[in-house]
Amino acid sequence: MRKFSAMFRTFLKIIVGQAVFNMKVGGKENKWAGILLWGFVGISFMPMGWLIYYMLNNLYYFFAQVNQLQLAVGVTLNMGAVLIFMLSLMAAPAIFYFSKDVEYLLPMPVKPAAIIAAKFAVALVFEYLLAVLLVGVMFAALWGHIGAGMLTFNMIFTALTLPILPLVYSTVIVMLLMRFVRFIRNPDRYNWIIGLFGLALAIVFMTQSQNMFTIDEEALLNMLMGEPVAMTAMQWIFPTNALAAQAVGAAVYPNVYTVIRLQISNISMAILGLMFFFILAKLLYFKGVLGLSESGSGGKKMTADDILTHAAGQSVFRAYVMKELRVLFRSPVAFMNCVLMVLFMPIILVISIVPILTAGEGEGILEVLSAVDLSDPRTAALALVAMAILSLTMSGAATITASAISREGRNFFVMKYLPVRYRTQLNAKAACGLTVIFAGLLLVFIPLIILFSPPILLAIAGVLITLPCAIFLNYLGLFFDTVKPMLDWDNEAVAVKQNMNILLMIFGGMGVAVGVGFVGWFWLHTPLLAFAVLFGGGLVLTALALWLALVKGSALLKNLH
Amino acid sequence: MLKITDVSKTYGNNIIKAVDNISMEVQSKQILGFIGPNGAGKTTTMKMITGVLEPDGGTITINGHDITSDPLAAKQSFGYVPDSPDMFLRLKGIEYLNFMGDMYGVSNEQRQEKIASMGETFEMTGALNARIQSYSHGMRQKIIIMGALLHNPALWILDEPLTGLDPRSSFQLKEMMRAHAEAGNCVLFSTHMLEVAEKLCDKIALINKGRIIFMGELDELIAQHNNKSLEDIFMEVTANA
Repeated sequence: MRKFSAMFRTFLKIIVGQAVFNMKVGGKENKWAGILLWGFVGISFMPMGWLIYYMLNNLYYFFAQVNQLQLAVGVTLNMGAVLIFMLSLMAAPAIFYFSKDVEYLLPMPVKPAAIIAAKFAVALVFEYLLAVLLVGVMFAALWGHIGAGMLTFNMIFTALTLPILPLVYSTVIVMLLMRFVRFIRNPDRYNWIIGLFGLALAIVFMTQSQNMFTIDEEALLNMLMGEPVAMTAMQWIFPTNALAAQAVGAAVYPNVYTVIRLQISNISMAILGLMFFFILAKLLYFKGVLGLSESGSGGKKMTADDILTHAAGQSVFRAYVMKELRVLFRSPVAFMNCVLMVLFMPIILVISIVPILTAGEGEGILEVLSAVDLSDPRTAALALVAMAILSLTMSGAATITASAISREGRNFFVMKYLPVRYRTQLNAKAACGLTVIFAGLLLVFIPLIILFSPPILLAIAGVLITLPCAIFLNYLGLFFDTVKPMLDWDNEAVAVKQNMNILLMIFGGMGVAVGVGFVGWFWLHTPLLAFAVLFGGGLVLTALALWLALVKGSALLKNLH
Repeated sequence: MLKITDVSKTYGNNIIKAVDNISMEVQSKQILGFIGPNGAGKTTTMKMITGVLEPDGGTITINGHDITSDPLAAKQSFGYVPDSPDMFLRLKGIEYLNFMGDMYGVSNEQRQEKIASMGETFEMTGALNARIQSYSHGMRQKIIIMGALLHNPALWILDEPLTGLDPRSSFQLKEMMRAHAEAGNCVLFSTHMLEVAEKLCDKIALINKGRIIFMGELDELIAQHNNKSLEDIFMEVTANA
């Protein structure tokens, strides 16, 4: 037990340390900066928490009136379980496989089962955080339907068991994949597949959520009652949730003994799930994890003749940009956070809008859109302002340059010994960012032009306005990252997800966009004036950002060690 | 070829100097072995020579170019193999070599010839189409060496270059270093393998606590210490310094 406890604390410290204590202020680790950042993230999610509470409150009120409270609670718990399952599909490989520590642990005098248990416990801690949040909101929404004592008793047991089965399922799936599918044993490849799977699910959710949010409680009840097979399947998949939901239902009356019996069954079922996990894990885990760090060169074998065709030169700038793009697109965490946000934002926008426009309720929106008269000077001016705001928002979301130096990490020193000017290297990093931003803007221009059919001059002016906005923010982000790059990390995610420069760029972009909107609404009443101010102002800001990034940034890089 | 004059380096507000007023010179046709205990200042010195770190004082010239005032010409004159080969992991071997070729302006003919010959020497040709991430430690070391030497630099600066190499590749690299020096160039390399330094180097620079405590030919050093082995001398001088 002591060894399990020591391993558990060490694994937890490593992960929590990476997530919280890696934040640096003035070059020194500062846990308060990390806590503040996470506090800020928590506050940002409060509106969503309130929305979920509001929905659950209405849902439980209606279902309680028709004596089907346990059905609604079951659905909520199952949705939470699916979310935990999805998240743990991403977290489990990092904890169990890609941390590459098992080969150091196995020669130590510890039981293999203790290693598995410690790793599972660490994964469980993170899933409990989510479970407690969800159950906390449920607690608030169920308040008034169930007596305080019974509610507290039920919610504690529910929170305790909620993440266990989803985590067991996801970990067993990961273990089976790692044991039998060689293709997936590469961390980049795994994160790619899971990331894209998650994105596809998000898109499906977005397209379906239109129906979910407009459906009333009665229709939802009919829908749930009309799907007995699906409901039974969910009961079989997550029996703990079904038992917890029944216990909540029994607590309404209240039937104390039934509640206790059901919650004991709930706990017993979770323990059975854990036993099932340990039996399978013993069979699968070590056979899958051992040898994972052994490398095997992939790709087609090159021959001496191939070198003649593959070894070819290009300009220093082009070669540097290509290197940046290759590294960016091949790094799952950088790609998902910096590139996908920009390229998929327009796609998600189109996917979300098209069903509304083609459905019955979209007629009104179409009428409004067709009434937009771009030959009207005021409307045309506002359209140009909107283009500037769009470009600023999208460029802010593309945090490629704001993490460009940070992503180099400890290999930053390579930039210093190459015989290439810092200015050229910084320009190449900026060009990489601009390539992605322009691709994203192009994806937005096409549907906008189809939708509004603007006059050709206005369309050209709109496109021209987006250019300085994008270039300005792109170089500004680069400058931020030359001032305080985050170079000391073991996991690239730290450079991308916990980088203050990225937050600065996002909020900087939003701030300038709000300013542009304000100025545009009150003062820019003709398209010519709007173009002159936005394009001219954009050029001035671009010149400033270029000076900051290239002149000041080069000097900062020279002194950065 | 490489001249270091009165160079010092202190990290942050530290009172102790990582490198304390060192001077040394590496001339053509020489292999200089840079030896010293861990934390003695070898890597700091090499990083200052390559422009990664800026010295607090003193001058470093490479092929007549000052690394501080004329950095690009100075950097063009050397090839640098750092102490860790975990770099450019998401690039394929051939992509990395092309990138380095482009950064140093290597012509297509030269890069094809060099990649083919070094690929064969280090038995890396077959793996060039795979990502560096999939390479073993030794293979990573080899690809970094190939990239550093692609532009045929006059000065090789190699920080622990033999670590992780298999015996054949280690032998080949030592042969290459010798051939490079005999062709009128020079090599500066750090190592903890004293027997390698003993066999390979024309000169030794022994550094401890940031100071050069000996710089000269190996025979001279041995003669000064009553014909003791380099290992014994190392133990003695690093303990007393």
